[in-house]
Amino acid sequence: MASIQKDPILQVETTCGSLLYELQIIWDEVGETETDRDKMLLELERECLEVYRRKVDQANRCRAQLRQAIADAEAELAAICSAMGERPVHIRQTDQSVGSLKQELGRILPELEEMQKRKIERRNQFVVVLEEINSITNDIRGQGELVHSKPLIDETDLSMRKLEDLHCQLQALQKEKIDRVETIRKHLCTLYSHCSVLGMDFNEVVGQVNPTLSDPEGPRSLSDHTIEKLGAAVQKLREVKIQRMQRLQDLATTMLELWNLMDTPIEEQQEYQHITCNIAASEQEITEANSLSEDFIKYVEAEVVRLDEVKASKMKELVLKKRSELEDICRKTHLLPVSDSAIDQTIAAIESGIVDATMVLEHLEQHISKIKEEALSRKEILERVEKWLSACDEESWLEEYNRDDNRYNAGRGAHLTLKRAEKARNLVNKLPGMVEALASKTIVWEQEKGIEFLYDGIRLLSMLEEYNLLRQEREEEHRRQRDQKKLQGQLIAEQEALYGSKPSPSKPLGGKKAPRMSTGGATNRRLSLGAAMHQTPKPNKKADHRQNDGALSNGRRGLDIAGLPSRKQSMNPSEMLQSPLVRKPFSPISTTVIASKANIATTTQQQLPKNNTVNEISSFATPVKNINSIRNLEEEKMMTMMMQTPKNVAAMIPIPSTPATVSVPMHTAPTPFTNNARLMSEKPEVVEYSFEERRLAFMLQAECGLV
Amino acid sequence: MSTSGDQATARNTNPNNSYEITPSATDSVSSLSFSPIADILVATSWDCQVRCWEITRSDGSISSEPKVSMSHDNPVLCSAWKDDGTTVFTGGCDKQAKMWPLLSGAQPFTVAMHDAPICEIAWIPGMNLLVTGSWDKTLKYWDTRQPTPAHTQQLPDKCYALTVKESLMVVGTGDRNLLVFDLKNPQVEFKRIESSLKHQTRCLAAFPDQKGFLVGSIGGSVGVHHIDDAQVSKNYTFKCHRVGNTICSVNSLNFHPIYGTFISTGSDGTFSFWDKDSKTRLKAMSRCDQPITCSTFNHDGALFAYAVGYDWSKGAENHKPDTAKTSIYLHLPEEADVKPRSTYKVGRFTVKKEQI
Repeated sequence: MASIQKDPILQVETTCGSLLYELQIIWDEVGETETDRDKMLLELERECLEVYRRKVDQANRCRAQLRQAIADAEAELAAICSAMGERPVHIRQTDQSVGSLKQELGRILPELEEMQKRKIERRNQFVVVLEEINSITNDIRGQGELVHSKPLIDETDLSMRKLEDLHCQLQALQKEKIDRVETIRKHLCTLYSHCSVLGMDFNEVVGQVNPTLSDPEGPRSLSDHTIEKLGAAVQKLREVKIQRMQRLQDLATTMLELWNLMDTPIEEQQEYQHITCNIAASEQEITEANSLSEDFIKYVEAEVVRLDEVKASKMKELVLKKRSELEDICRKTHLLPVSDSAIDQTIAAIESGIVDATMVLEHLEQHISKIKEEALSRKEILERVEKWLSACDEESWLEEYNRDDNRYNAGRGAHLTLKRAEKARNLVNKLPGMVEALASKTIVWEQEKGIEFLYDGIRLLSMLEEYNLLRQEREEEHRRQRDQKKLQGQLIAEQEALYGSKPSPSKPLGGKKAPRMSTGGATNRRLSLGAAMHQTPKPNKKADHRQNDGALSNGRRGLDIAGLPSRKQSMNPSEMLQSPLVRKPFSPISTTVIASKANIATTTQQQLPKNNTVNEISSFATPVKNINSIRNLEEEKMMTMMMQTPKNVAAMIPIPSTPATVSVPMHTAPTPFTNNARLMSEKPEVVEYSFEERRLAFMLQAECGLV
Repeated sequence: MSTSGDQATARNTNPNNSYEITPSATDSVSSLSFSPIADILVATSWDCQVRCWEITRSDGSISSEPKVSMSHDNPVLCSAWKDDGTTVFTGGCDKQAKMWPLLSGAQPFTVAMHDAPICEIAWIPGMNLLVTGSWDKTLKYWDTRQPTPAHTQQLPDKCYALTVKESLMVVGTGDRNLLVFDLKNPQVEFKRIESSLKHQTRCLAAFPDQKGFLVGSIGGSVGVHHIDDAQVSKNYTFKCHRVGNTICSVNSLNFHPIYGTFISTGSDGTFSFWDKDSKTRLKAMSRCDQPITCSTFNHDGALFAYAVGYDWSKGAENHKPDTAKTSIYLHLPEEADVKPRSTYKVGRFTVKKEQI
């Protein structure tokens, strides 16, 4: 019973039973009818059922709500997990589910809360990244006016992968931004350097591209458009720079040419040195500020214009200067100067404005360099010639001295004279060797150059030959003198025998002049030597030419040399006849010719008083003959040399054409029309022309005709 | 050929139906040069102009488009391309040579100067030097970045013709001198030869194998020279470009870049295809009414450009500026014409050894 009493339902039942009993007692007392009693009991039972049903319904509803809550939580959890890309922690498996619904809900709710918290964190991360992306994108797109709208977040995908993607995207954008900033920076740097070189206002140039760029602090526009415009600006400035640089280099070139032309002093050049040093610089090398500014170019231009004006005024002066330089060099190296008339003509042409003075200058300059080159090659031989000439001076002095019968008279400075005589004798002994060495050197030189070695317009070889002749002649004279002396001695001896008196040693003729002769005689001798040489150049040259031609043709054809001398000799008489005739046209030296003639005549007269009857021509005739004989020997020597070394023939070929010293100025005359006309008229048959040369000549002539 | 036939063909300005490049030069064309890498043609002319066209060819049809041009102060005589095909060099009567980087669109500027007109110009790829030949009797080598020549070579006479093939350079001067240079040692004349032809040297062409060269003279003959002394016996000369008894100048000689045969053009207005090894004339073309002044192959030999105009071979009196029209034509050589034949007829062989 105790167990039954403990049960509340049993207690309720007991209470219900006791209450029913109490009701039966009440009813009995009241005397309720059986039907009323049944009716009352039925009602009681129905009300009880009602109460039960209501409670069951309530419980049922509560259960459904609980289930719904769990399902919702689970759904939310699943959604969050899927959005965050994580495997759901809570997987409800109905079979395994243990515990009541409330337990289940209790378990799921904290998880959900946790996930929600994480989701909010994740979402914030997304917001941060997206905001950054948005801002950079805006920067790059360059639409500054775009409002910073809140980034739209796709709530369904908040996974780490998406976040990483966004991070990557952000990084790429950041990199691009850095790149763009760098590009712009570089462009700005280049632009700045260009601006500084060109002397332009950097801020103004940049401001035109994009106003934000000129502000050093504020944010700069990074858009494609800006970069493009900036690049274009850089390119434009670069083109301007190149253009100006070329302009400046052109100016610098002109300037250099002008300096060169006018021999401008270095100090004056120094001022513009920084310009001319850039003459070959490339575009990148020019970085100096303002070195290409408009003002600077104007300044250089002004200088060039000034120089040009100076040049115009100086041109004639320059031409004359160059010409005197040329003549000076010619004189120093004993080359024949360019004929005066040719240069006078060109100067007249400059004055009349027909010819461009620069061309003449150029031509003169070329000529000078050519002459200098030639002078260099002549140097060695010239030195030897000087030695030889001074030796000749000594020789003639010695001769005069020897002729002085009073030479051993003791007087003031006699010991010096004696010493000089001793030295001179030594020198004279060396003379033949010296001449021979000089001759062979000259021959070698002539063969190398293919032209004759001219000394003051006379062939050196012929000078040497002449000298050898004179020497031979002198030796002969010496012999005769010795004979005469012997004769005189005999005469004196006879006189002594007759009168017993001894005459004092007498001077032969013009005794008073003797001491002067002994010093001045040298120059006389030299003059006569020079004059003797002056007499022959033309015929000699001609003969040489002919002989050369002959030698060449012989050499080429391989004919026997034996036939040669006879041919040469056949030419001699004509040469002999020509030589006195040809002398006349040499008007500038005619006086010396006459003087020398007289000189020779007087000396011969002095030396050979008994031979006074010998006329001038015959005295000249002998040496000429000798010259030829010697020359023939020379010729043969050259011939044999040439035969031995056939290569020399080729080297010699240019000789007959024209000796360079004479014809070069004509060839390279600068003014094409006059030049061509002259060339054409002079030797149309010799010069070879191509079709193009003929055409150009025709064109120039036609132009000239129009002018 | 009968004389009447001659006249009939002579009136025809374009008897070979070649493609004409327009606009043409207004005066005789002095040189034609194709880019070594593309079909870009440059022509220099006596009207002081240098013109440039781009040629396009597709299936045997050609079209040309004028591209750029520049001018000298005086008639232009010669042109050459740099080996990379970016730059053209031209020289002429203004005694200057200009460098024209036309692919980059830059302006031409002077790179070389002589004392007389420059009549020959060539680029030496091996040395990166420009060589210019002039009537001032010199040959100058130029580093285009330097204002002064790298080397000046004195010539025995005026330069009239020049050809460069890798390390072989041959220069033809007046007085029939032919100077052979080994460009490995350009300062020394390798050899000096007298032309085997009786007349003035007009044009030269080095063999593709560099073992010799062709020389053409104003006297209507072509000489084949070998450089090696052992091969001199293989030298020969032959006559060409003659109309009946009239002797015409050989104006240009061009080797085919692939097959090694060559084309000669002349004052008679014809051009002919030859094979020097088999001593055969491969083909003769019809006669134009005026001389062919110059010609060139393009880099693969598929195009042959030639210019028709007066070449001054008959002097000023025969120059009729009113009727003389200058034209530049393109000819597409057939393979059979430029390929050396394996078998050839000796009987029809017109070439014979000329007496020197």
